[in-house]
Amino acid sequence: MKGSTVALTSKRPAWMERPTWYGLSLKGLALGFIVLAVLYPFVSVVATSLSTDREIVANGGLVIWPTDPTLDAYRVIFAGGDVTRALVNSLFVASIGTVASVCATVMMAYGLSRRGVTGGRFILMIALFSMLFGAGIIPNFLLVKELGLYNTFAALILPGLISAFNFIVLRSFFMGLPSELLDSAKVDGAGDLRILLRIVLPLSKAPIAVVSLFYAVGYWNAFFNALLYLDDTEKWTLPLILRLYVLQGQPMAQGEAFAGDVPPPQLAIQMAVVVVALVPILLVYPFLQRFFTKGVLSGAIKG
Amino acid sequence: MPASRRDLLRTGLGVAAVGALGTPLLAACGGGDDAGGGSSNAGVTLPNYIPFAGPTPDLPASGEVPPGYYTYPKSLVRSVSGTPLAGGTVKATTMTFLPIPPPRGENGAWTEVEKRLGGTLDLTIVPASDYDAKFNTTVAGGDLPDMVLYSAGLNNVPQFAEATCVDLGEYLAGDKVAEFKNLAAIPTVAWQNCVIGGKLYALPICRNITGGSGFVNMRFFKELGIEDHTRLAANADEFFEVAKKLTDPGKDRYALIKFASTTLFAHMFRVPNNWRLDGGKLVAARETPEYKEAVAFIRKLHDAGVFYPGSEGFTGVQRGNAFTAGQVAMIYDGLPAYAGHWTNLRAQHADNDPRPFIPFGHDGGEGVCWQDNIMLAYTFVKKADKEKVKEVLRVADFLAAPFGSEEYELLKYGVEGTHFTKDADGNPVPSDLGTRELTVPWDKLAANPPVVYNATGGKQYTDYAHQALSSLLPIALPDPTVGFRSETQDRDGTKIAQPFNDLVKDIVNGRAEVSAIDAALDEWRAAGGDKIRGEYENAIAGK
Repeated sequence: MKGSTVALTSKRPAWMERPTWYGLSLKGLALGFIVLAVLYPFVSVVATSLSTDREIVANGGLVIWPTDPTLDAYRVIFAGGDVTRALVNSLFVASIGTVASVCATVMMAYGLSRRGVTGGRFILMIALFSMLFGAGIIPNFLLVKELGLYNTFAALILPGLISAFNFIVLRSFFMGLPSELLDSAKVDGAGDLRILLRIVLPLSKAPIAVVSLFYAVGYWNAFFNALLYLDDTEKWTLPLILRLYVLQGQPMAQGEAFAGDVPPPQLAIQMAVVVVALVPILLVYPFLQRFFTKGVLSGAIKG
Repeated sequence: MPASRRDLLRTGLGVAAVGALGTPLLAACGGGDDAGGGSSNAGVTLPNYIPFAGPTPDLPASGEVPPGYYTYPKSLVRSVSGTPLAGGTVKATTMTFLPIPPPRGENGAWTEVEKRLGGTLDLTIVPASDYDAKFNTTVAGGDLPDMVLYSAGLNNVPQFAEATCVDLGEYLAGDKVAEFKNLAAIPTVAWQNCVIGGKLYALPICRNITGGSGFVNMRFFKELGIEDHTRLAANADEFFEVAKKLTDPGKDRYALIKFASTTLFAHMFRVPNNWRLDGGKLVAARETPEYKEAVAFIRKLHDAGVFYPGSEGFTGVQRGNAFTAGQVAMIYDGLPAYAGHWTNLRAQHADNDPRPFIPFGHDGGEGVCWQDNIMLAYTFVKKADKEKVKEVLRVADFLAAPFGSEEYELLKYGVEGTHFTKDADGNPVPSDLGTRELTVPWDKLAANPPVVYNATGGKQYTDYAHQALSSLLPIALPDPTVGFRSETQDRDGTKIAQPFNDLVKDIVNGRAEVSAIDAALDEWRAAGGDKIRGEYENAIAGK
């Protein structure tokens, strides 16, 4: 008995009191409530996507536990081809965009983290300026058109290739690396590229993972730029399709149906599209989660 | 002075949305014969109406009531001779409410349509929910296509139209429209709404003129011995009693659902359509005693507990689901939603009997409805040389092919055997491929005149829908301000009305008293209501 108490207390810092049963219960309740609050919408979305129309109507909307689960909604959305195509487009934009953005951000951040770079401060100020003031929709639209990027995937990637926030996170981290390490590499004859690739990057896995995730999520969610810059529906990304499906159930769409139009998709189909849009990012998170806290904090508190 | 077109979307689209509890101002897409042709538009010669000589309907058209068909016509008429494009290309931007179709080149129906057009129809399809953003950016970018649908979002429509778009009067006014037979079959009332700044600048996407007064599930009324859906009650008091009898919380059944109900009661109390013009003076609908009475009646119903609990915050889908599930006996929704309710309710329960609600007068007299669904939106044609404009209009003419024409069948159902087959009665039954490929929004560029037909609804649906339009259109009130413009309304109308509308919302939900309306009206007048009134009155007087 005594031994177990010692073992228990040994896991706590010396200054921490022994937890009380009601304290633990309260924490458990609070955490349980938060987990439920997070899980409830997700579970209801998945459950509704697996429900029949009749069940959805009987429940007055979202379903929590489908009694007669069916994959019909998924069959419908994948049979149409538009969701599949948009999924492929989004994967393409997110993967290419993330790689391009991370490469560009790493190089810019590394370059501007070194002392003595000509014009470095000016470029840094411009980057910071872009965090405070955006050009606006119309100037960006005109820029994209003039650069010949209109109706290409590049329009979703190039205008926002480097995010000032991500750039600052990485630059701050790079500046915190011991300068002796980099200097010794230089003495050994390594150039900047070699130092970046062989020393800096291996030490920066955490912040780079985080920045990659930020970029990936941003590209995956590309909606407004896709709406403005992509004319061909075959190039549409998943968020555009998602919005189209989700809003179709609104009365606006019903207003079209007087002469026997195609009825709007049911809630199950809408939720199925939501699930399809959620899953890829959801799959990425667990692999990057361990880097997350470390990566953000390391960039955030050093400067 | 032209009308702002901001309200147009709220009409065609919004009739069904009708969320604006507390506002009878839902959308003034109306503009009847005597209202739309105001002084500033008086000099405009509209296209002559030349009816389409198509298959004989089962229920004839009469006045503004469209023809009705029990089954799909057996012999179709070719409405466009030759190929409109002759190798050319027309670019267009429009919106869609449906799943996106397979792209051009991978879409057999699109290819077939282009074969008939004799050229390329290059469409940019934008989700309706985001159309305004795309449209505005496209306009600002200065890269308009040959045809572009306009719904809302510009403050300076007349200036935009004058600078960028073709005056179609030169091509369509009077007898000139005869060159484009399908456009000539569009009713005059729709063309009246396309006059902007004293010129005919647009092609209408026409609708059924009125958005109606909602729907009832007669199954529940029949249980109370009420068989006549055109007269559910003799007056408001009797209706109050009926509503109480319909409500049975134990069975999770209520008479009505919130939010969607104000319009319905406004119709019962004969509230004017946005404004009432009386001897050159305008009275806003919200200022009328009828409106106050309607709000008081809704509050009385609220206090009696006949509204579905918690439905104040319901979305349109939730309201529709509650109606389908039999949780409510009446719902406000736009008449165009009838086909959807018809299908959904009957699939849910064999005894369900959805019918359009025909409003009766609160005092035993006649009710009214509003001309609030004349058009969905309209299409501008970009300025170009005459030949190009004519080419674009020939394409629009093709896309506006009426029901009963070969072109309509191609645009709506595709190619027989590939995109659809026919059932025993000759009604088209879309194949999977047809369902996928036929979602190209041709009808959001140029629309055919309305008809009453439902491929799966049969005779009963057509009878009910036709009867509803026959009953509703004669009592549909026009909005006297349509065709005229108030800059204050265009710019700030919604903002100015917001506090009033919020108050009404509070009243009908039991959070404020009806007596507070008078003070809120004073505030509305001071905040800009009187200014809006003055601007409209001046425009109507031709000042």
